[in-house]
Amino acid sequence: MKATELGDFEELVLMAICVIGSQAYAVNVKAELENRLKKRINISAIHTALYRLEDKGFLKSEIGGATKERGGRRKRFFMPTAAGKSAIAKLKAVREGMYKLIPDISNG
Amino acid sequence: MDKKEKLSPPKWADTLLSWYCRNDRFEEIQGDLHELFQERINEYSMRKARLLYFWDVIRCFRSYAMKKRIYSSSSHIAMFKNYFLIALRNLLQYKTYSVINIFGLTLGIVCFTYIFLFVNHELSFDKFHENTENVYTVPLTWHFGATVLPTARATSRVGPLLEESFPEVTSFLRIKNPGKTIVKSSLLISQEHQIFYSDSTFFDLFTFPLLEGDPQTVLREPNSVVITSSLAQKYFGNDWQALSLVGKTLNIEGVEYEITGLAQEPPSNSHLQFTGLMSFSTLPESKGGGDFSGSSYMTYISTLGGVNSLSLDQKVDTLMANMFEEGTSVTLDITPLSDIYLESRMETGLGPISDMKYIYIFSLIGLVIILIACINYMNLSTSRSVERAKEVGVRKVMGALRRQLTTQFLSESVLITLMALILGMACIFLLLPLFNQLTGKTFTVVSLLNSDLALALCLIWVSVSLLAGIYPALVLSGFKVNNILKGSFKFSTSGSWLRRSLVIVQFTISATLIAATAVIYQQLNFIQNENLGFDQEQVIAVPFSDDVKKGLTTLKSELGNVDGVLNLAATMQLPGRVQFESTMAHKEGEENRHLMRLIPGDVNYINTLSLKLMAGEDFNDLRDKEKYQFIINEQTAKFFGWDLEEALGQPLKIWNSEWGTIIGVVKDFHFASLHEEIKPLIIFYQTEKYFMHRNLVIKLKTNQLAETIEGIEDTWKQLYPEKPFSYTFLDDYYGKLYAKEQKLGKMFTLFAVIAIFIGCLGLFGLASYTAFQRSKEIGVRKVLGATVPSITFLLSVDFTKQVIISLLFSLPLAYFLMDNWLQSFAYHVEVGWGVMIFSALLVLLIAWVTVGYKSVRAALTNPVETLRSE
Repeated sequence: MKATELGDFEELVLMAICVIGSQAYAVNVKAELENRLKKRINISAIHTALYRLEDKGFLKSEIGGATKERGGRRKRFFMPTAAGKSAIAKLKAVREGMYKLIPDISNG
Repeated sequence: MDKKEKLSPPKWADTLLSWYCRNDRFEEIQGDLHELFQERINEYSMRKARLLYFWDVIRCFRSYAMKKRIYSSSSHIAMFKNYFLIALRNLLQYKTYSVINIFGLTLGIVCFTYIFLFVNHELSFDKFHENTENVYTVPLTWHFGATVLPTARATSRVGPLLEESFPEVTSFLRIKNPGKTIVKSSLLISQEHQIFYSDSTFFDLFTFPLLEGDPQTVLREPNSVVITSSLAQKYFGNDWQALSLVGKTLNIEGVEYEITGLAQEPPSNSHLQFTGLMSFSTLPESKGGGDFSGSSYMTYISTLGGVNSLSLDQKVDTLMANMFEEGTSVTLDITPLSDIYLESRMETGLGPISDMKYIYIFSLIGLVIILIACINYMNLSTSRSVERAKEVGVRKVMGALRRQLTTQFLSESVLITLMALILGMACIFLLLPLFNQLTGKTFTVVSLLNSDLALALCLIWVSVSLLAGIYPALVLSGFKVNNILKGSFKFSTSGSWLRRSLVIVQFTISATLIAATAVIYQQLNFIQNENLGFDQEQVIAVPFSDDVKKGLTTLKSELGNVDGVLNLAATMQLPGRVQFESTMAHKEGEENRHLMRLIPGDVNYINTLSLKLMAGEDFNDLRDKEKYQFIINEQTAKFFGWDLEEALGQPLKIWNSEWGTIIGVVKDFHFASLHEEIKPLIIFYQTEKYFMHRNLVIKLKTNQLAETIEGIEDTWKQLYPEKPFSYTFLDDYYGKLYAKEQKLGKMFTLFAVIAIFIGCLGLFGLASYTAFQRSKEIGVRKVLGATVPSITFLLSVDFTKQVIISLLFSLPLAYFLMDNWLQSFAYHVEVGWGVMIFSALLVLLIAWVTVGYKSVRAALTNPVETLRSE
C-alpha cells in the first residue's frame, strides 16, 4: 500500500477532524467517533491514526496553550491540510459515483 | 492534598509511560490519558478508572509513542554489517588464530553437546510413567547381628503385607527374574534373558503401552504371557502382525503360556527392560501369602497422591521391627521409582543401572572442556590486542562509545561461536555412531532433532559467546585513545598476569585428566594381571536348563570323553559373581549362625578351576551319599578359628538343617569381583545332587580349542537336540565384570586427549604470537651471537613455568580424586609417584613440543628477515 493512501479508519478520523473544526485533538476526536459509530475506541488507535495521517501529509498539527483540565499539559491540535481535504472529497466522489450505479439499493 | 492524590492516576503507570514514551510526544499523550481519566472518574469507580488508565498506558505502547534509539535503525544495521565485515576480514587475515579459535571451540562444543545428550538421557530414566511420583520400590536390607546385607529386591511377602497394613498403599507389584528361560515356538528354540514374572498390576503402575490386550487383565490368569514386538518377531517371523498372536501359545521352559497381550518395546530410558512378562499367578508362591525367606522379588508399591515417603518409611520400619526372631531383622527403604536407576546403586537384575557419581563427573568434564576452549579465545584475543588497538583508536576518535565497541567485539565472538556451532553440529551428527558405541546408547539423528538439543545449542551459543567474548571486549574497548594514537601502546601488560593464570587453569585441568586416566589404566591393568587364585584361561562355561539337569551325570561323562577336554564340573554361577550371600552356617555346639558365601560344587571342581588345595582333598563320589561335603577357604577356617589341618573332618551346618563334613581347605581366591575383599566361603557338594547347578565349567587343552568346542557341541546336540548350546570363555566373562571401569577408562582417555589438545592449541597460538612479537629482539640477539638453543630456551621458559605451576596444582588434585576412586576396590594399586611423574613429564613434553616448534622456527629465522625493514 502506498503511504499516501487513506485507510478506512484514517478516513473516519480525518473526517471527524473536519467536523470538529479548529479545536480537534485526540480526546474529542475519540468522543466524536464513539458517538457516531456507537462503539468504544481505544485512545491508542486514535493516536496511531493521527500521527500516521500527519506523516502522510493529510494533517498538520500545532501545540496549543497550557490547559486547566489536564494538569496544565498542552494539547496537540490537528487540522486537515489541503491534501487531506481533497482526499476526502475524492473518496466521496468515488463512493457516490458507485453508489448511484447500484440498482435499487433502497429496496435491497 | 490527600484527596487530590486520590483523584490522580496511578503514579507507577505514569512512570511506565515516561519510560517508554518519546519525549516530544510525552506531554500530549499523557495529557490525553489524564483527560480520559478525569472523565472516567465521574462515570466509574476510582478503582476501575485507575485500572483503565493503566490499560491505556499499556495500549499506548505502540510505535508512534516509543522512544527512538540513539542511532536510527538503518545506521544500526549498517554498523552491524561493518562489524561483521571487519570480523570476517580479521578472521581471514589471521588464519592461524581463526583456525585455532574455531577448531578449539568446535571440539569443546561437540564434547559438551555429547555429554549433554548423555546426561540428559540418564536423567530422564523412568520419568515417562504417568504415575512416576507415586510409585516406589522397596529394597530390603537384612541385618544379621552386626552384618548388614542390602539388596535391591524384597521377599514375596513384603508387597502384600504393605498393601494390607497401610491404607495409603494402593497396590503392589512383584517382579521376579527367573534368569535364562528357554522359549520354543514352531519356528525357533532359543534362550531369553528378559522374560520376567510379574503381578497383574504391572500396567497399572507403569506406563508401557500395549499394542493389543487389556492392561487390566492381561497378567491376571496363570500361564499368561505378554510379549513385546521384538520377541514376537523373533519367534513368529516378520509377518507376526498378520498372525493375530493374542490367544496363541508360546512354550516357555516346557510350559505352554497363552499370549494375552502384545507390548511395545520398553523405551531405552527405563530401568526395566523386558521382552516378555509371565503372570505371577503362575508361580506357586503367589498362592500363599509368601514367606520371608529369599529375596528375589523386585517389589514396587503405588501410593495415594501426596503421600510423604519419609513418614511411610518410618511406619514400615516399625511394622517390620517385630517380624523376626532375635538377632535377625529387616528394614525396607522406600525409594522413588525415578531414583532406582541413578541413586540406588543396587543391581535390580531387570535392566541397566547407573550411578549419579558418573553424571556429576561427566557434567563437570563437559563444562571444563568448554571452559578450556573459551580460555583459548580469551587469551588469543587479548594477546593480539595490539593489532586491533589502532582500529579501536580510530573508532573512538570518530565518536564510537565504549558500549558500541563492546558490542562490536561481542558480535565477533558471536560470529566465531556460530561458525564453531555449525561445524560442531556437523561433527555431532557425523560422529554419532562412535558416540553410541562408546556410551552404549542408541541415539539416532532423528532422535536428536528435538527441542531439548535445540535449546541446549542456543544456550551454548549465547553462553560461550558471552563467556569467551566479554573479557576481550571489555579489554579492547577500554583502551585509551591518546595512548594508542601516540604510538606508545605496545602490548597490554596489565592483562598478562590474567592470561598466565588462565593458561595455568587450562593445564591444571588437562594434567589432572591425564593423571586420572593414567591411574585408571594402572588399576585396570592391575585387575587383569592380578592372580585371581583360579585359572580362567582355557576354561569355558556352558549354561544348562532344568531339563538338562536331570541327565547331568550322563552329559558329564559323555563330555568327559570328548577329545581335548581335561576336566569338567558343574556349578551354579561362575566365579566373579557373588553366590548366595545370605547363607547361614554354623559349627557344631554353637548356636550363633554366621553369614557365609556358598558355591555349589562338584567332583573335580577344584581341579577344573585349578584352585590350590592347602589341606584335604577334592570332592569325590566315594563318601556318604546322604551327607554334604564341604571345602572351605582359608578365610572360613580363620573365621571359625581352625588350623588348616584342624578344619578337616569338622562338621558344619548350612541353611537350617543340613549337616556335613569339611573335607578340604582351599587357598583364598577371588570368587567375587575385586571391588570386595575375599570373604569366608563354603563350597558344597552332595553326591550327584545337582539341584542348584546351572553351569558346566570345562577346562580345555591348550592346543586345539576350536576342535574341542566343536566336539562338545556335537555331543550336546546328540543328547539334547532341542536345547540351544552356548558357551563363554571364563576370562571374557571375568573381563566383563569390569566393563564399567573399562568404559570409564576409555571416556577419560578421550576427554583427557581432547582437553590437552585444546589447551595446546591455545598454547601454540600464544607461543607463535610471542615469537612474532619478539621477532626483532630475536634478530638482534642472533646478530649479537645468541645460539639457536639459547633463543629457544628464552622463548619456552615462560610457558614452561606456567605448565610447571599448573602441575603443582593438578597432581595433588588428581592424587586426591583418584585415591578416592580407588577406595571402591578392595584390591587396588596405590597412587604412586611413578604415575604422577609420568603424567607430569607427559604434559611437559606435550607443552614443549607445542611451544618448541614455534620457538625453534623463530630462533632459526635469519635475522636479516626481521631486521631489514623498519
